[in-house]
Amino acid sequence: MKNSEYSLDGISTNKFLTLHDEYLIFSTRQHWTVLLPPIILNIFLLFGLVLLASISSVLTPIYFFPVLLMALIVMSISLEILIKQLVEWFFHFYIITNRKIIEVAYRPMFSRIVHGVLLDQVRCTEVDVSSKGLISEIFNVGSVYVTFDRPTQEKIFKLDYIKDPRRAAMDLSDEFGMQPASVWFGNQAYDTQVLNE
Amino acid sequence: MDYFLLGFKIIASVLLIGIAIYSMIYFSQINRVEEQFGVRIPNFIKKILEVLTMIPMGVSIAVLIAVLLEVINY
Repeated sequence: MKNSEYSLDGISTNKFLTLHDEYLIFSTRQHWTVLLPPIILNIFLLFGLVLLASISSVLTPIYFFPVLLMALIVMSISLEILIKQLVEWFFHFYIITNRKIIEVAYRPMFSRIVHGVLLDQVRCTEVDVSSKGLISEIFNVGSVYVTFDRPTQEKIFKLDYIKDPRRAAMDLSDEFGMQPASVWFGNQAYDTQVLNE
Repeated sequence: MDYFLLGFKIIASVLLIGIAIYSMIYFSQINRVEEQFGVRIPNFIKKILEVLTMIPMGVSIAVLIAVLLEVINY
Protein backbone atom coordinates (compact mmCIF):
# COMPACT_ATOMS: atom_id res chain seq x y z
CA MET A 1 0.00 0.00 0.00
CA LYS A 2 1.44 3.35 -1.03
CA ASN A 3 0.90 6.75 0.58
CA SER A 4 -0.76 5.52 3.74
CA GLU A 5 -0.93 9.16 5.00
CA TYR A 6 -3.99 9.60 2.80
CA SER A 7 -6.03 6.85 4.42
CA LEU A 8 -9.08 8.11 6.24
CA ASP A 9 -10.15 7.65 9.82
CA GLY A 10 -13.22 5.52 10.07
CA ILE A 11 -13.18 4.00 6.59
CA SER A 12 -12.57 0.32 6.26
CA THR A 13 -10.90 0.55 2.84
CA ASN A 14 -10.50 -3.24 2.69
CA LYS A 15 -14.22 -3.39 1.88
CA PHE A 16 -13.50 -1.56 -1.36
CA LEU A 17 -10.48 -3.62 -2.41
CA THR A 18 -12.30 -6.36 -4.26
CA LEU A 19 -10.18 -7.00 -7.35
CA HIS A 20 -7.10 -9.17 -7.82
CA ASP A 21 -3.77 -7.49 -6.93
CA GLU A 22 -5.59 -4.34 -5.95
CA TYR A 23 -4.02 -1.90 -3.50
CA LEU A 24 -5.03 1.48 -2.17
CA ILE A 25 -3.31 4.55 -3.60
CA PHE A 26 -5.19 7.01 -1.44
CA SER A 27 -8.60 7.71 -0.02
CA THR A 28 -9.88 11.13 0.83
CA ARG A 29 -12.96 13.18 1.52
CA GLN A 30 -13.75 16.85 1.05
CA HIS A 31 -11.78 19.24 3.26
CA TRP A 32 -13.46 20.33 6.51
CA THR A 33 -13.46 23.97 5.33
CA VAL A 34 -16.54 23.18 3.20
CA LEU A 35 -18.43 22.91 6.51
CA LEU A 36 -17.48 26.41 7.68
CA PRO A 37 -20.21 28.41 5.83
CA PRO A 38 -23.18 26.40 7.24
CA ILE A 39 -21.67 26.39 10.76
CA ILE A 40 -21.05 30.16 10.73
CA LEU A 41 -24.54 30.77 9.27
CA ASN A 42 -26.08 28.63 12.00
CA ILE A 43 -24.26 30.50 14.77
CA PHE A 44 -25.38 33.88 13.38
CA LEU A 45 -28.94 32.60 13.04
CA LEU A 46 -28.92 31.36 16.63
CA PHE A 47 -27.68 34.71 17.98
CA GLY A 48 -30.22 36.55 15.81
CA LEU A 49 -33.09 34.47 17.13
CA VAL A 50 -32.03 34.87 20.77
CA LEU A 51 -31.80 38.64 20.19
CA LEU A 52 -35.25 38.69 18.54
CA ALA A 53 -36.82 36.75 21.41
CA SER A 54 -35.15 39.06 23.96
CA ILE A 55 -36.37 42.23 22.20
CA SER A 56 -39.84 40.74 21.88
CA SER A 57 -39.97 39.93 25.61
CA VAL A 58 -39.24 43.58 26.43
CA LEU A 59 -41.42 45.31 23.80
CA THR A 60 -44.43 42.99 23.55
CA PRO A 61 -44.56 40.60 26.51
CA ILE A 62 -47.86 39.07 25.29
CA TYR A 63 -46.19 37.82 22.10
CA PHE A 64 -43.07 36.55 23.84
CA PHE A 65 -44.09 32.89 23.89
CA PRO A 66 -45.20 32.75 20.20
CA VAL A 67 -41.99 34.52 19.16
CA LEU A 68 -39.97 32.10 21.29
CA LEU A 69 -41.79 29.19 19.64
CA MET A 70 -41.02 30.54 16.19
CA ALA A 71 -37.38 30.99 17.18
CA LEU A 72 -37.23 27.42 18.48
CA ILE A 73 -38.76 26.04 15.28
CA VAL A 74 -36.30 27.93 13.08
CA MET A 75 -33.44 26.92 15.37
CA SER A 76 -34.45 23.24 15.24
CA ILE A 77 -34.73 23.29 11.44
CA SER A 78 -31.35 24.99 11.02
CA LEU A 79 -29.82 22.51 13.47
CA GLU A 80 -31.22 19.63 11.44
CA ILE A 81 -29.77 21.13 8.25
CA LEU A 82 -26.39 21.43 9.99
CA ILE A 83 -26.48 17.79 11.16
CA LYS A 84 -27.49 16.72 7.64
CA GLN A 85 -24.53 18.57 6.12
CA LEU A 86 -22.10 17.12 8.68
CA VAL A 87 -23.28 13.57 8.03
CA GLU A 88 -23.33 14.01 4.26
CA TRP A 89 -19.79 15.38 4.39
CA PHE A 90 -18.66 12.36 6.38
CA PHE A 91 -20.30 9.84 4.06
CA HIS A 92 -18.93 11.46 0.89
CA PHE A 93 -15.49 10.12 0.08
CA TYR A 94 -13.22 9.03 -2.74
CA ILE A 95 -11.21 5.83 -2.88
CA ILE A 96 -8.47 5.53 -5.48
CA THR A 97 -6.81 2.16 -5.99
CA ASN A 98 -4.52 0.89 -8.75
CA ARG A 99 -7.54 -0.79 -10.41
CA LYS A 100 -10.43 1.59 -9.92
CA ILE A 101 -11.65 4.98 -8.73
CA ILE A 102 -14.76 5.08 -6.54
CA GLU A 103 -16.83 7.99 -5.30
CA VAL A 104 -19.23 7.14 -2.50
CA ALA A 105 -21.87 9.70 -1.55
CA TYR A 106 -24.53 8.60 0.86
CA ARG A 107 -27.24 10.93 2.11
CA PRO A 108 -29.25 9.06 4.75
CA MET A 109 -32.97 9.01 3.88
CA PHE A 110 -32.36 10.86 0.60
CA SER A 111 -29.93 9.17 -1.79
CA ARG A 112 -26.99 6.83 -2.15
CA ILE A 113 -24.52 7.18 -5.01
CA VAL A 114 -21.58 4.90 -5.72
CA HIS A 115 -19.75 6.05 -8.81
CA GLY A 116 -16.91 3.80 -9.91
CA VAL A 117 -14.56 3.64 -12.89
CA LEU A 118 -12.58 0.50 -13.64
CA LEU A 119 -9.19 1.74 -14.78
CA ASP A 120 -8.56 -1.41 -16.87
CA GLN A 121 -11.44 -0.40 -19.14
CA VAL A 122 -10.46 3.22 -19.77
CA ARG A 123 -7.46 5.32 -20.69
CA CYS A 124 -6.83 8.51 -18.77
CA THR A 125 -6.13 11.51 -20.99
CA GLU A 126 -6.01 14.40 -18.54
CA VAL A 127 -5.47 15.05 -14.85
CA ASP A 128 -6.29 18.67 -14.04
CA VAL A 129 -6.01 20.55 -10.77
CA SER A 130 -8.00 23.58 -9.78
CA SER A 131 -7.67 25.65 -6.61
CA LYS A 132 -9.60 28.90 -6.38
CA GLY A 133 -10.08 31.45 -3.63
CA LEU A 134 -8.30 32.69 -0.54
CA ILE A 135 -9.50 29.92 1.81
CA SER A 136 -8.47 27.25 -0.71
CA GLU A 137 -5.00 28.76 -1.02
CA ILE A 138 -4.52 29.06 2.75
CA PHE A 139 -5.67 25.52 3.54
CA ASN A 140 -4.30 23.94 0.34
CA VAL A 141 -7.72 22.80 -0.87
CA GLY A 142 -8.78 22.20 -4.45
CA SER A 143 -10.38 19.91 -7.00
CA VAL A 144 -8.83 17.27 -9.25
CA TYR A 145 -10.47 16.45 -12.58
CA VAL A 146 -9.63 13.12 -14.18
CA THR A 147 -10.72 12.85 -17.82
CA PHE A 148 -11.07 9.51 -19.59
CA ASP A 149 -11.04 8.74 -23.32
CA ARG A 150 -14.39 6.97 -23.31
CA PRO A 151 -17.80 8.18 -22.26
CA THR A 152 -18.11 7.40 -18.57
CA GLN A 153 -20.45 9.26 -16.27
CA GLU A 154 -20.08 12.92 -17.29
CA LYS A 155 -16.74 11.87 -18.91
CA ILE A 156 -14.88 13.52 -16.05
CA PHE A 157 -14.25 12.12 -12.61
CA LYS A 158 -14.16 15.02 -10.21
CA LEU A 159 -12.56 14.91 -6.77
CA ASP A 160 -14.06 18.02 -5.22
CA TYR A 161 -12.46 20.26 -2.55
CA ILE A 162 -9.94 17.69 -1.36
CA LYS A 163 -6.90 18.37 0.77
CA ASP A 164 -3.58 18.74 -1.06
CA PRO A 165 -4.99 18.39 -4.61
CA ARG A 166 -1.56 18.73 -6.26
CA ARG A 167 -0.21 15.76 -4.38
CA ALA A 168 -3.35 13.75 -5.25
CA ALA A 169 -3.02 14.74 -8.92
CA MET A 170 0.65 13.76 -8.86
CA ASP A 171 -0.14 10.32 -7.46
CA LEU A 172 -2.88 9.85 -10.04
CA SER A 173 -0.60 10.96 -12.87
CA ASP A 174 2.06 8.53 -11.71
CA GLU A 175 -0.48 5.74 -11.62
CA PHE A 176 -1.69 6.56 -15.13
CA GLY A 177 1.86 6.76 -16.46
CA MET A 178 1.71 10.50 -17.05
CA GLN A 179 4.97 11.45 -15.35
CA PRO A 180 5.66 14.74 -17.22
CA ALA A 181 2.37 16.18 -16.04
CA SER A 182 3.50 15.92 -12.43
CA VAL A 183 5.90 18.83 -12.95
CA TRP A 184 2.97 21.19 -13.58
CA PHE A 185 1.17 20.27 -10.39
CA GLY A 186 4.01 20.04 -7.93
CA ASN A 187 5.95 22.66 -6.08
CA GLN A 188 9.74 22.62 -6.07
CA ALA A 189 9.96 19.82 -3.50
CA TYR A 190 7.63 17.58 -5.48
CA ASP A 191 9.43 18.35 -8.77
CA THR A 192 12.80 17.46 -7.33
CA GLN A 193 11.40 14.25 -5.91
CA VAL A 194 9.90 13.28 -9.29
CA LEU A 195 13.04 14.16 -11.27
CA ASN A 196 15.23 12.22 -8.87
CA GLU A 197 13.08 9.14 -9.33
CA MET B 1 -57.09 36.77 19.48
CA ASP B 2 -56.61 34.32 22.36
CA TYR B 3 -57.91 31.47 20.20
CA PHE B 4 -55.50 32.46 17.45
CA LEU B 5 -52.53 32.53 19.83
CA LEU B 6 -53.48 29.20 21.39
CA GLY B 7 -53.94 27.59 17.97
CA PHE B 8 -50.59 28.93 16.88
CA LYS B 9 -48.87 27.50 19.95
CA ILE B 10 -50.45 24.07 19.43
CA ILE B 11 -49.45 23.98 15.74
CA ALA B 12 -45.93 25.13 16.59
CA SER B 13 -45.49 22.46 19.28
CA VAL B 14 -46.75 19.74 16.91
CA LEU B 15 -44.28 21.00 14.29
CA LEU B 16 -41.45 20.85 16.83
CA ILE B 17 -42.35 17.27 17.72
CA GLY B 18 -42.32 16.42 13.99
CA ILE B 19 -38.82 17.85 13.65
CA ALA B 20 -37.66 15.93 16.73
CA ILE B 21 -39.05 12.63 15.39
CA TYR B 22 -37.40 13.28 12.02
CA SER B 23 -34.03 13.89 13.73
CA MET B 24 -34.34 10.64 15.72
CA ILE B 25 -35.10 8.63 12.55
CA TYR B 26 -32.19 10.34 10.76
CA PHE B 27 -29.82 9.39 13.57
CA SER B 28 -30.96 5.75 13.46
CA GLN B 29 -30.28 5.73 9.70
CA ILE B 30 -26.70 6.81 10.36
CA ASN B 31 -26.15 3.74 12.56
CA ARG B 32 -27.50 1.50 9.80
CA VAL B 33 -25.24 3.04 7.16
CA GLU B 34 -22.18 2.51 9.34
CA GLU B 35 -22.74 -1.23 9.25
CA GLN B 36 -23.54 -1.32 5.52
CA PHE B 37 -20.65 0.76 4.19
CA GLY B 38 -17.97 -0.13 6.70
CA VAL B 39 -17.60 3.55 7.52
CA ARG B 40 -17.44 4.30 11.20
CA ILE B 41 -18.01 7.81 12.50
CA PRO B 42 -15.48 8.65 15.25
CA ASN B 43 -17.03 8.38 18.70
CA PHE B 44 -16.64 12.04 19.64
CA ILE B 45 -18.38 13.20 16.44
CA LYS B 46 -21.13 10.68 17.07
CA LYS B 47 -21.59 12.00 20.60
CA ILE B 48 -21.86 15.57 19.25
CA LEU B 49 -24.44 14.43 16.70
CA GLU B 50 -26.35 12.59 19.42
CA VAL B 51 -26.49 15.71 21.59
CA LEU B 52 -27.54 17.87 18.62
CA THR B 53 -30.24 15.30 17.83
CA MET B 54 -31.52 15.36 21.42
CA ILE B 55 -31.87 19.17 21.51
CA PRO B 56 -35.03 19.31 19.31
CA MET B 57 -36.53 16.40 21.27
CA GLY B 58 -35.92 18.12 24.63
CA VAL B 59 -37.20 21.45 23.33
CA SER B 60 -40.31 19.91 21.82
CA ILE B 61 -41.20 18.04 25.02
CA ALA B 62 -40.74 21.21 27.11
CA VAL B 63 -42.86 23.25 24.69
CA LEU B 64 -45.54 20.56 24.55
CA ILE B 65 -45.82 20.50 28.36
CA ALA B 66 -46.03 24.32 28.46
CA VAL B 67 -48.75 24.40 25.80
CA LEU B 68 -50.69 21.55 27.45
CA LEU B 69 -50.62 23.39 30.78
CA GLU B 70 -51.90 26.52 29.02
CA VAL B 71 -54.69 24.55 27.35
CA ILE B 72 -55.71 22.99 30.70
CA ASN B 73 -55.70 26.39 32.42
CA TYR B 74 -57.71 27.91 29.53
